[in-house]
Amino acid sequence: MPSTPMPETSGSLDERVYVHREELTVLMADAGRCDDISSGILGDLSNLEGTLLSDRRLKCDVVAVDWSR
Amino acid sequence: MPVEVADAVAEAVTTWSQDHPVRVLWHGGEPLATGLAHFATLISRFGPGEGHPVRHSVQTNATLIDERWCELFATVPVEVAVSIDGPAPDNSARADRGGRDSTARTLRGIELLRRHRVRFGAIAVVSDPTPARAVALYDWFAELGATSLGVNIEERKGVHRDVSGTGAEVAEFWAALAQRWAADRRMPIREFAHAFGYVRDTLAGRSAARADRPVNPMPMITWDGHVVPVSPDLAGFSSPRLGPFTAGNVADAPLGELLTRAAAVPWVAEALAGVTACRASCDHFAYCRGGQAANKYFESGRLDVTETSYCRNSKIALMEGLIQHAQYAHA
Repeated sequence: MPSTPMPETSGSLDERVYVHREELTVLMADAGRCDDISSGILGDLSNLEGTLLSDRRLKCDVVAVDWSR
Repeated sequence: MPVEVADAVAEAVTTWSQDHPVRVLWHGGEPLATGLAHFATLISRFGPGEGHPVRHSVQTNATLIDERWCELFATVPVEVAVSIDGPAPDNSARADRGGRDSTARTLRGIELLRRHRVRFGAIAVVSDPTPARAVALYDWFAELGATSLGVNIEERKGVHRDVSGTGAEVAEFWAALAQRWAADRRMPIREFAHAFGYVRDTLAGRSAARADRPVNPMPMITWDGHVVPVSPDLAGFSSPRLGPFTAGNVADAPLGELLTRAAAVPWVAEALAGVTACRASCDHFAYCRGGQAANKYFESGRLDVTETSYCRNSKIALMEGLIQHAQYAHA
Protein backbone atom coordinates (compact mmCIF):
# COMPACT_ATOMS: atom_id res chain seq x y z
CA MET A 1 0.00 0.00 0.00
CA PRO A 2 1.32 3.47 -0.76
CA SER A 3 2.39 5.76 2.02
CA THR A 4 0.47 8.96 2.59
CA PRO A 5 2.43 11.95 1.26
CA MET A 6 4.10 13.99 3.96
CA PRO A 7 6.08 17.20 3.76
CA GLU A 8 9.86 16.99 3.57
CA THR A 9 10.19 13.26 3.61
CA SER A 10 13.33 12.84 1.53
CA GLY A 11 15.92 10.63 3.17
CA SER A 12 15.37 7.70 5.47
CA LEU A 13 13.64 8.24 8.79
CA ASP A 14 16.90 7.66 10.64
CA GLU A 15 18.62 10.30 8.50
CA ARG A 16 15.85 12.82 9.02
CA VAL A 17 15.91 12.29 12.76
CA TYR A 18 19.63 12.87 12.68
CA VAL A 19 19.22 16.07 10.68
CA HIS A 20 16.92 17.43 13.39
CA ARG A 21 18.85 15.96 16.29
CA GLU A 22 19.37 19.24 18.12
CA GLU A 23 15.71 20.27 18.14
CA LEU A 24 14.56 16.74 18.95
CA THR A 25 17.03 16.51 21.82
CA VAL A 26 15.60 19.71 23.26
CA LEU A 27 12.10 18.32 22.84
CA MET A 28 13.03 15.10 24.61
CA ALA A 29 14.63 16.77 27.59
CA ASP A 30 12.84 15.80 30.79
CA ALA A 31 10.47 13.54 28.88
CA GLY A 32 9.41 10.28 30.43
CA ARG A 33 11.10 7.17 29.18
CA CYS A 34 9.26 4.29 27.62
CA ASP A 35 11.88 1.84 26.53
CA ASP A 36 10.68 -1.35 24.97
CA ILE A 37 13.33 -3.52 26.49
CA SER A 38 12.86 -7.21 26.17
CA SER A 39 12.29 -9.21 29.26
CA GLY A 40 13.07 -12.60 30.66
CA ILE A 41 9.59 -13.71 29.78
CA LEU A 42 11.06 -14.53 26.39
CA GLY A 43 12.76 -17.44 28.02
CA ASP A 44 9.40 -19.13 27.86
CA LEU A 45 8.59 -17.73 24.46
CA SER A 46 11.59 -18.57 22.36
CA ASN A 47 9.41 -19.37 19.37
CA LEU A 48 8.21 -15.80 19.27
CA GLU A 49 11.41 -14.05 20.24
CA GLY A 50 12.18 -11.07 18.12
CA THR A 51 8.94 -11.16 16.28
CA LEU A 52 6.18 -10.25 18.67
CA LEU A 53 4.13 -7.24 17.84
CA SER A 54 2.85 -4.49 19.87
CA ASP A 55 4.58 -1.32 20.73
CA ARG A 56 1.33 -0.24 22.32
CA ARG A 57 1.95 -2.63 25.14
CA LEU A 58 5.41 -1.78 26.25
CA LYS A 59 6.96 -1.75 29.63
CA CYS A 60 6.42 1.92 30.09
CA ASP A 61 7.01 4.10 33.08
CA VAL A 62 4.78 6.93 32.03
CA VAL A 63 1.48 5.24 31.31
CA ALA A 64 0.44 2.26 33.30
CA VAL A 65 -2.30 0.98 31.05
CA ASP A 66 -1.48 1.87 27.57
CA TRP A 67 -3.54 0.24 24.93
CA SER A 68 -7.06 -0.60 26.01
CA ARG A 69 -9.91 1.75 25.30
CA MET B 1 -13.65 -14.04 35.02
CA PRO B 2 -13.87 -17.21 37.07
CA VAL B 3 -11.36 -17.53 39.88
CA GLU B 4 -9.98 -20.63 38.18
CA VAL B 5 -8.89 -18.55 35.18
CA ALA B 6 -7.23 -15.99 37.44
CA ASP B 7 -5.45 -18.81 39.25
CA ALA B 8 -4.09 -20.19 35.97
CA VAL B 9 -2.79 -16.78 34.96
CA ALA B 10 -1.40 -16.08 38.41
CA GLU B 11 0.62 -19.27 38.30
CA ALA B 12 2.42 -18.14 35.13
CA VAL B 13 2.77 -14.57 36.37
CA THR B 14 4.41 -15.76 39.57
CA THR B 15 6.91 -17.78 37.58
CA TRP B 16 7.71 -14.82 35.31
CA SER B 17 8.16 -12.55 38.32
CA GLN B 18 11.17 -14.59 39.32
CA ASP B 19 12.98 -12.99 36.37
CA HIS B 20 11.43 -9.53 35.96
CA PRO B 21 8.55 -7.31 37.08
CA VAL B 22 5.13 -8.22 35.72
CA ARG B 23 2.20 -5.90 35.19
CA VAL B 24 -1.31 -7.35 35.00
CA LEU B 25 -3.67 -5.10 33.06
CA TRP B 26 -7.37 -5.51 33.78
CA HIS B 27 -9.51 -4.18 31.01
CA GLY B 28 -12.67 -4.96 29.13
CA GLY B 29 -15.34 -3.94 28.32
CA GLU B 30 -15.51 -2.42 31.72
CA PRO B 31 -13.53 -4.36 34.32
CA LEU B 32 -15.21 -2.68 37.27
CA ALA B 33 -18.51 -4.17 36.09
CA THR B 34 -17.39 -7.44 37.62
CA GLY B 35 -18.11 -5.89 41.02
CA LEU B 36 -15.78 -4.79 43.75
CA ALA B 37 -15.87 -7.97 45.82
CA HIS B 38 -15.11 -10.23 42.86
CA PHE B 39 -12.45 -7.87 41.53
CA ALA B 40 -10.76 -7.89 44.93
CA THR B 41 -10.93 -11.69 44.93
CA LEU B 42 -9.35 -11.91 41.47
CA ILE B 43 -6.55 -9.56 42.46
CA SER B 44 -5.95 -11.54 45.63
CA ARG B 45 -5.16 -14.67 43.62
CA PHE B 46 -1.97 -12.97 42.46
CA GLY B 47 0.85 -12.84 44.96
CA PRO B 48 3.24 -9.94 45.35
CA GLY B 49 5.75 -11.62 43.08
CA GLU B 50 8.85 -13.70 43.64
CA GLY B 51 12.02 -11.72 43.19
CA HIS B 52 10.28 -8.95 41.27
CA PRO B 53 6.96 -7.25 41.93
CA VAL B 54 3.63 -8.10 40.35
CA ARG B 55 1.63 -4.93 39.77
CA HIS B 56 -1.93 -4.45 38.66
CA SER B 57 -3.53 -1.75 36.52
CA VAL B 58 -7.10 -1.18 35.53
CA GLN B 59 -8.47 0.61 32.48
CA THR B 60 -11.90 1.94 33.31
CA ASN B 61 -14.50 4.42 32.13
CA ALA B 62 -14.77 5.40 35.82
CA THR B 63 -18.57 5.48 35.80
CA LEU B 64 -18.81 2.82 38.50
CA ILE B 65 -16.18 4.31 40.79
CA ASP B 66 -17.49 5.09 44.22
CA GLU B 67 -16.00 5.56 47.68
CA ARG B 68 -15.42 1.83 48.09
CA TRP B 69 -13.55 1.51 44.81
CA CYS B 70 -11.37 4.47 45.78
CA GLU B 71 -10.58 2.79 49.07
CA LEU B 72 -9.59 -0.36 47.21
CA PHE B 73 -7.37 1.56 44.79
CA ALA B 74 -5.75 3.34 47.71
CA THR B 75 -5.02 0.17 49.65
CA VAL B 76 -4.04 -2.44 47.06
CA PRO B 77 -1.44 -1.96 44.35
CA VAL B 78 -3.78 -1.15 41.47
CA GLU B 79 -2.97 1.74 39.16
CA VAL B 80 -5.88 3.44 37.45
CA ALA B 81 -6.27 4.76 33.93
CA VAL B 82 -9.51 6.32 32.73
CA SER B 83 -10.92 6.13 29.23
CA ILE B 84 -12.36 9.51 28.33
CA ASP B 85 -12.04 11.52 25.15
CA GLY B 86 -12.46 15.01 26.57
CA PRO B 87 -15.34 17.17 27.80
CA ALA B 88 -18.91 16.29 26.90
CA PRO B 89 -18.94 17.15 23.17
CA ASP B 90 -15.73 15.25 22.53
CA ASN B 91 -16.73 12.29 24.69
CA SER B 92 -20.19 11.83 23.23
CA ALA B 93 -19.23 8.57 21.50
CA ARG B 94 -18.85 6.96 24.91
CA ALA B 95 -22.48 6.17 25.53
CA ASP B 96 -23.90 3.50 27.81
CA ARG B 97 -26.05 0.63 26.59
CA GLY B 98 -29.06 2.89 26.79
CA GLY B 99 -27.37 5.35 24.45
CA ARG B 100 -26.89 7.92 27.20
CA ASP B 101 -23.80 10.09 27.31
CA SER B 102 -21.49 8.82 30.05
CA THR B 103 -19.35 11.92 30.43
CA ALA B 104 -20.92 13.26 33.62
CA ARG B 105 -20.61 9.88 35.33
CA THR B 106 -17.00 9.52 34.23
CA LEU B 107 -16.15 12.98 35.55
CA ARG B 108 -17.88 12.15 38.82
CA GLY B 109 -15.66 9.06 39.11
CA ILE B 110 -12.57 11.10 38.37
CA GLU B 111 -13.56 13.63 41.00
CA LEU B 112 -13.78 10.80 43.54
CA LEU B 113 -10.32 9.60 42.53
CA ARG B 114 -8.97 13.09 43.01
CA ARG B 115 -10.67 13.45 46.37
CA HIS B 116 -9.08 10.21 47.53
CA ARG B 117 -5.74 11.23 46.03
CA VAL B 118 -5.69 8.23 43.70
CA ARG B 119 -3.44 9.06 40.79
CA PHE B 120 -4.87 8.31 37.38
CA GLY B 121 -3.73 8.34 33.79
CA ALA B 122 -6.03 8.78 30.84
CA ILE B 123 -6.51 7.45 27.35
CA ALA B 124 -8.42 9.46 24.77
CA VAL B 125 -9.66 8.55 21.33
CA VAL B 126 -9.42 11.48 18.94
CA SER B 127 -11.80 11.50 15.99
CA ASP B 128 -11.04 15.04 14.81
CA PRO B 129 -7.24 15.31 14.75
CA THR B 130 -6.69 19.02 14.10
CA PRO B 131 -4.11 21.38 15.61
CA ALA B 132 -6.80 23.16 17.61
CA ARG B 133 -8.02 19.85 19.00
CA ALA B 134 -4.47 18.95 20.02
CA VAL B 135 -4.09 22.08 22.13
CA ALA B 136 -7.54 21.75 23.68
CA LEU B 137 -6.96 18.07 24.38
CA TYR B 138 -3.68 18.62 26.17
CA ASP B 139 -4.92 21.53 28.23
CA TRP B 140 -8.12 19.81 29.29
CA PHE B 141 -6.43 16.63 30.48
CA ALA B 142 -3.62 18.50 32.20
CA GLU B 143 -6.18 20.58 34.10
CA LEU B 144 -8.16 17.43 34.88
CA GLY B 145 -5.14 16.16 36.77
CA ALA B 146 -4.22 13.18 34.61
CA THR B 147 -0.71 11.98 35.35
CA SER B 148 -0.25 10.90 31.74
CA LEU B 149 -2.19 10.80 28.51
CA GLY B 150 -2.42 8.18 25.79
CA VAL B 151 -3.84 9.36 22.47
CA ASN B 152 -5.54 6.94 20.12
CA ILE B 153 -6.41 8.35 16.73
CA GLU B 154 -9.72 6.79 15.76
CA GLU B 155 -9.12 3.43 14.11
CA ARG B 156 -11.00 0.83 12.17
CA LYS B 157 -11.06 -2.00 14.62
CA GLY B 158 -13.60 -4.58 15.70
CA VAL B 159 -17.09 -3.25 15.14
CA HIS B 160 -15.78 0.28 14.74
CA ARG B 161 -15.49 1.20 11.06
CA ASP B 162 -14.42 4.85 11.01
CA VAL B 163 -10.90 6.11 10.38
CA SER B 164 -10.04 9.72 11.04
CA GLY B 165 -8.03 12.22 9.02
CA THR B 166 -5.33 11.91 6.42
CA GLY B 167 -1.65 11.44 7.14
CA ALA B 168 -0.73 15.08 6.54
CA GLU B 169 -3.63 16.40 8.61
CA VAL B 170 -2.85 14.05 11.46
CA ALA B 171 0.83 15.03 11.33
CA GLU B 172 -0.26 18.61 11.99
CA PHE B 173 -2.25 17.38 14.97
CA TRP B 174 0.81 15.64 16.41
CA ALA B 175 3.02 18.65 15.69
CA ALA B 176 0.62 20.92 17.56
CA LEU B 177 0.43 18.46 20.44
CA ALA B 178 4.23 18.35 20.60
CA GLN B 179 4.40 22.12 20.63
CA ARG B 180 1.83 22.36 23.43
CA TRP B 181 3.50 19.61 25.42
CA ALA B 182 6.94 21.20 24.99
CA ALA B 183 5.62 24.46 26.38
CA ASP B 184 3.97 22.87 29.40
CA ARG B 185 5.38 19.41 30.16
CA ARG B 186 3.09 18.75 33.12
CA MET B 187 1.64 15.63 31.58
CA PRO B 188 3.65 13.00 29.68
CA ILE B 189 2.19 11.82 26.38
CA ARG B 190 2.47 8.08 25.93
CA GLU B 191 3.01 8.22 22.18
CA PHE B 192 5.80 10.77 22.48
CA ALA B 193 7.54 8.75 25.16
CA HIS B 194 7.62 5.81 22.81
CA ALA B 195 8.72 7.86 19.82
CA PHE B 196 11.50 9.39 21.88
CA GLY B 197 12.76 5.91 22.64
CA TYR B 198 13.30 5.41 18.93
CA VAL B 199 14.86 8.86 18.51
CA ARG B 200 17.28 8.24 21.38
CA ASP B 201 18.28 4.89 19.93
CA THR B 202 18.75 6.39 16.49
CA LEU B 203 20.89 9.26 17.75
CA ALA B 204 22.95 6.75 19.70
CA GLY B 205 23.50 4.68 16.56
CA ARG B 206 21.31 1.86 17.82
CA SER B 207 18.49 2.00 15.28
CA ALA B 208 19.40 -1.29 13.62
CA ALA B 209 19.84 -2.98 16.98
CA ARG B 210 16.46 -1.64 18.03
CA ALA B 211 14.85 -3.19 14.96
CA ASP B 212 16.29 -6.55 15.95
CA ARG B 213 15.47 -6.26 19.63
CA PRO B 214 12.73 -8.51 20.96
CA VAL B 215 9.63 -6.69 22.07
CA ASN B 216 8.01 -7.46 25.35
CA PRO B 217 5.21 -9.87 24.67
CA MET B 218 1.93 -9.25 26.35
CA PRO B 219 -0.45 -12.14 26.15
CA MET B 220 -4.09 -11.33 26.60
CA ILE B 221 -6.28 -13.75 28.53
CA THR B 222 -9.99 -13.35 28.04
CA TRP B 223 -12.52 -13.68 30.83
CA ASP B 224 -13.11 -17.31 29.92
CA GLY B 225 -9.45 -18.25 29.68
CA HIS B 226 -8.66 -17.97 25.99
CA VAL B 227 -5.14 -16.80 25.21
CA VAL B 228 -4.50 -14.18 22.54
CA PRO B 229 -0.70 -14.01 22.32
CA VAL B 230 -0.48 -11.03 19.97
CA SER B 231 -2.63 -7.99 19.26
CA PRO B 232 -5.22 -8.40 22.02
CA ASP B 233 -7.78 -6.32 20.20
CA LEU B 234 -8.44 -9.50 18.24
CA ALA B 235 -9.85 -11.18 21.33
CA GLY B 236 -13.38 -12.41 20.88
CA PHE B 237 -13.30 -12.21 17.10
CA SER B 238 -13.09 -14.99 14.54
CA SER B 239 -11.88 -15.08 10.98
CA PRO B 240 -13.88 -17.09 8.44
CA ARG B 241 -10.54 -18.19 7.02
CA LEU B 242 -8.47 -18.65 10.20
CA GLY B 243 -11.04 -19.42 12.87
CA PRO B 244 -11.25 -17.83 16.31
CA PHE B 245 -8.34 -15.66 17.39
CA THR B 246 -7.18 -17.83 20.26
CA ALA B 247 -4.09 -19.92 20.90
CA GLY B 248 -5.85 -22.19 23.39
CA ASN B 249 -7.39 -21.97 26.82
CA VAL B 250 -5.70 -21.95 30.21
CA ALA B 251 -8.24 -24.53 31.33
CA ASP B 252 -6.58 -27.01 28.98
CA ALA B 253 -2.86 -26.21 29.30
CA PRO B 254 -0.58 -23.92 31.32
CA LEU B 255 -0.32 -20.38 30.00
CA GLY B 256 3.43 -20.63 29.43
CA GLU B 257 2.97 -23.79 27.40
CA LEU B 258 0.27 -22.21 25.24
CA LEU B 259 2.52 -19.25 24.53
CA THR B 260 5.47 -21.44 23.64
CA ARG B 261 3.31 -23.25 21.09
CA ALA B 262 1.59 -20.11 19.83
CA ALA B 263 3.80 -19.43 16.81
CA ALA B 264 2.51 -22.63 15.22
CA VAL B 265 -1.11 -21.50 15.44
CA PRO B 266 -2.05 -20.49 11.86
CA TRP B 267 -3.40 -17.05 12.61
CA VAL B 268 -0.44 -16.21 14.87
CA ALA B 269 1.94 -17.44 12.16
CA GLU B 270 0.21 -15.16 9.66
CA ALA B 271 0.55 -12.23 12.05
CA LEU B 272 4.23 -12.93 12.50
CA ALA B 273 4.61 -13.09 8.72
CA GLY B 274 3.10 -9.62 8.67
CA VAL B 275 5.84 -8.39 10.97
CA THR B 276 8.44 -9.93 8.69
CA ALA B 277 6.84 -8.13 5.74
CA CYS B 278 6.93 -4.84 7.64
CA ARG B 279 10.58 -5.36 8.45
CA ALA B 280 11.38 -5.94 4.79
CA SER B 281 9.42 -3.02 3.40
CA CYS B 282 8.97 -0.19 5.88
CA ASP B 283 11.42 2.59 6.66
CA HIS B 284 9.69 3.03 10.03
CA PHE B 285 10.20 -0.54 11.23
CA ALA B 286 12.84 0.28 13.83
CA TYR B 287 10.37 2.75 15.31
CA CYS B 288 7.11 0.83 14.90
CA ARG B 289 8.31 -2.78 15.05
CA GLY B 290 5.64 -4.25 12.87
CA GLY B 291 2.33 -2.54 13.50
CA GLN B 292 -0.76 -4.12 14.95
CA ALA B 293 -2.20 -7.37 13.69
CA ALA B 294 -5.69 -6.27 14.73
CA ASN B 295 -5.56 -3.17 12.56
CA LYS B 296 -4.21 -5.20 9.66
CA TYR B 297 -7.01 -7.71 9.99
CA PHE B 298 -9.86 -5.27 10.42
CA GLU B 299 -8.66 -3.12 7.53
CA SER B 300 -7.76 -5.86 5.05
CA GLY B 301 -9.05 -9.19 6.28
CA ARG B 302 -5.49 -10.48 6.52
CA LEU B 303 -2.83 -10.43 9.23
CA ASP B 304 0.22 -10.53 6.97
CA VAL B 305 -0.19 -7.17 5.22
CA THR B 306 1.94 -4.16 6.06
CA GLU B 307 0.91 -0.52 6.24
CA THR B 308 -2.49 0.33 7.74
CA SER B 309 -4.37 3.49 8.58
CA TYR B 310 -3.21 2.95 12.13
CA CYS B 311 0.40 2.97 10.89
CA ARG B 312 -0.17 6.13 8.90
CA ASN B 313 -2.03 8.08 11.59
CA SER B 314 -0.49 6.86 14.82
CA LYS B 315 3.06 6.05 13.75
CA ILE B 316 4.16 7.69 10.52
CA ALA B 317 2.18 10.90 11.00
CA LEU B 318 3.27 11.10 14.63
CA MET B 319 6.93 10.95 13.72
CA GLU B 320 6.34 13.43 10.92
CA GLY B 321 4.63 15.70 13.43
CA LEU B 322 7.60 15.56 15.77
CA ILE B 323 9.93 16.38 12.87
CA GLN B 324 7.62 19.20 11.80
CA HIS B 325 7.81 20.56 15.33
CA ALA B 326 11.59 20.32 15.19
CA GLN B 327 11.58 22.22 11.88
CA TYR B 328 9.37 24.95 13.37
CA ALA B 329 11.63 25.18 16.39
CA HIS B 330 14.67 25.46 14.14
CA ALA B 331 13.02 28.17 12.05
